[in-house]
Amino acid sequence: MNPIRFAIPKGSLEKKTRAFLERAGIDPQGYADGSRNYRPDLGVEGVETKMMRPQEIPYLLQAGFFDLGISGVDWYYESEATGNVEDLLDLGFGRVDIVLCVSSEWRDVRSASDLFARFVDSTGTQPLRIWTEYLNLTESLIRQHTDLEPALYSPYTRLSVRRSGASPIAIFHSFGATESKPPEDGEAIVDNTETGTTLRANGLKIIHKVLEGSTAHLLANRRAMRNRDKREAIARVRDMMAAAAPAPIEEELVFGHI
Amino acid sequence: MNPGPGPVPAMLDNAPPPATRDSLPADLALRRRLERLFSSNAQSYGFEEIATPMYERADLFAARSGPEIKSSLLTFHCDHEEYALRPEMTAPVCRLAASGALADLPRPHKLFYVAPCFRYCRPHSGRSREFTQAGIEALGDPSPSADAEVIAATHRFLRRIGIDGPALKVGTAGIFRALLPERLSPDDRAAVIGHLDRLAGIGERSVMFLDTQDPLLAERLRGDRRELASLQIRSGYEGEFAVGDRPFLDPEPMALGLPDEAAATYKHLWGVEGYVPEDVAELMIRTSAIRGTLDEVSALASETLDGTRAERPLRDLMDVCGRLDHYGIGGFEVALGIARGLTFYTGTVFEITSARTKLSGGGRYDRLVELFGGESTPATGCAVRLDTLQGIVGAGAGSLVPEGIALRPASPADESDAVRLAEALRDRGTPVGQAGAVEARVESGMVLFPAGAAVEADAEAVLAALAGERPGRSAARESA
Repeated sequence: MNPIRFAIPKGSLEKKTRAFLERAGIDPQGYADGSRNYRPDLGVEGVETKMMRPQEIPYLLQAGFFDLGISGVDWYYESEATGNVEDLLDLGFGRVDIVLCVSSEWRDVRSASDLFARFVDSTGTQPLRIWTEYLNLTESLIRQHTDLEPALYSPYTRLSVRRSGASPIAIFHSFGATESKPPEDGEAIVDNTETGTTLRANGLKIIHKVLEGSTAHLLANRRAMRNRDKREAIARVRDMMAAAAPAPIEEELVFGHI
Repeated sequence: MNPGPGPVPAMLDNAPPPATRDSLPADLALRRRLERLFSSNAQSYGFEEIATPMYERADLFAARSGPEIKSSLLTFHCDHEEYALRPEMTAPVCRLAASGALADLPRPHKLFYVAPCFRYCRPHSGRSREFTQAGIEALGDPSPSADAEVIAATHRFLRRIGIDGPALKVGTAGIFRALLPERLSPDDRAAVIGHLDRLAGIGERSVMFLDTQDPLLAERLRGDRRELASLQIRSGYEGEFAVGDRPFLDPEPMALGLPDEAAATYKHLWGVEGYVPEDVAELMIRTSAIRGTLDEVSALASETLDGTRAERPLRDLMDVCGRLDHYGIGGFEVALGIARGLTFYTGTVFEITSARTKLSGGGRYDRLVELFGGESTPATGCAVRLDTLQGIVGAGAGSLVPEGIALRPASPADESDAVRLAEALRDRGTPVGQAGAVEARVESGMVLFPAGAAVEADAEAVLAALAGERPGRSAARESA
């Protein structure tokens, strides 16, 4: 029987994932800080593990290159992978909000609608420039608030059908340090934040939550879940993780006297 | 989003459904014993038993506690109507009262119940979806003596089942209700009461964390803090206690700073939303921090609330506390910011814990029957969860020795003697035939005990011999 392929995060979620696996009674061999080994051994039968960037994991699951993975809900939605990827379990850690920010000096801009209203009538010569790593989430946000087709500025736009062009709103593909782009190179950003500290330090304020409380989730390819052998291995991993996951994070609702 | 349990390996098919359990004879014997003790205790205070359906219209529970409660219900559809297995009993009792079914009975209505209840929880949360709630409710009596009696009855029950030194904490929701401006809508009122409750909860958790250094509590506090950060962002808070400006890496300074952050956040929020004027907000936050022995609280609280509309509920609370003394209950804590996680209480509230486990909670809810469309009915009550109690008491209960006797006919000819004797023993209340009981042989009109005694096959003679067979048994016999 072929083992299932399990993708676990390299980079931002790595430390928290390791701590979580240990809580779940899994001792990840070779999943350590600064390790050059990308293929840690979880010691779970029938499961072969590889470290991948969290941004890549949902679409690799979607395409079927991996059967099981851990990634943030933000990238699950950003990758538009919900069609063929099942959300198995909220692991509760790595919580961030995906937020829309502008300069804190823009006192009269308090919501996404305020921001877009400022720019919809402009001709495109002075567009609203939104920097982000979350291209799809940002596009959805724009579509929810305006009738406009945003322009996209990215090194990769030549590869796709959509081109950058004149529009009152432009999405700029950011490769990091997104909070540093405004004010001179952009008017707004869509970025993730844990406490808002970095945003504040860069003179930004949050005017809208695009995605609130995104945490790491256990995700699985739906085809793999229909396969009898793979299903058992997936259930095994899920049960181990479920034991470590939720209790302290979700508050029990109290109703009635007790 | 979460698909629930999903595919299960075939070998687990015989397990009970997730987060439920089967009860074996020893478990059930203990539970029934607790039920009997609860009932007889409630009856000794003049409460009478009622029962309501195992399920209700789902809206009944959502109406009082808000739509988010629905995620905690086990629901099903029947005849195009949505029903929920009851998650607790106070709402059904109030529905019953609002229906008018109690109208012709003498007041006050002193009711008790022992009722299986159901709540959804995630499969691996360690909680149980099915449990037994036992409670008492006194409807139609507005006096502090009714509150004191409810507390005393519950306290006595817990002592009687062997809980060592149950810790009682008493407070009141009435003070905050009185301080809130009258113009506030019921929803806004509930929101502020909810905030005060959160505030008290955060205070409690931070004290407990500093005491125990429990990492799970630290995680909870981090969650509390994220929630505060989110509220601050939404309400545009930019003051001294902005969570985003205070990057605490270690849990200890975080826990120390959290109560101030919470107080500043809620105060700001109340101002922005126009709920509460600043001086009242200040007063409420100061009041919520008042806790201690009755004497300590009594002086400080009267001074703090002097000349406000909260004097009356404070007096009621002090009255209840004074009456607890008549019942011989002392050494309890009075906490004006008691966190009960609920917005439906209107007056005195309390909870009882033992070794940090919550055993009972309750309080006065004068508006609830009216909210369900009945006539205005002052009411107070409380409940316990028998599964929780069973876990605590069970650990020290020891094994249960089977009562009675098992009779084995030595030959087919002795069968009729054995059956006749068994029936005669049953007439006298002695169980016959339980596996593990003393096993005696019936032979030629005689009963031979394993230790060697032999008596005639006569019920009285056998009972006398059985008592001799088991010295000290009567001492172990359950008093209930």
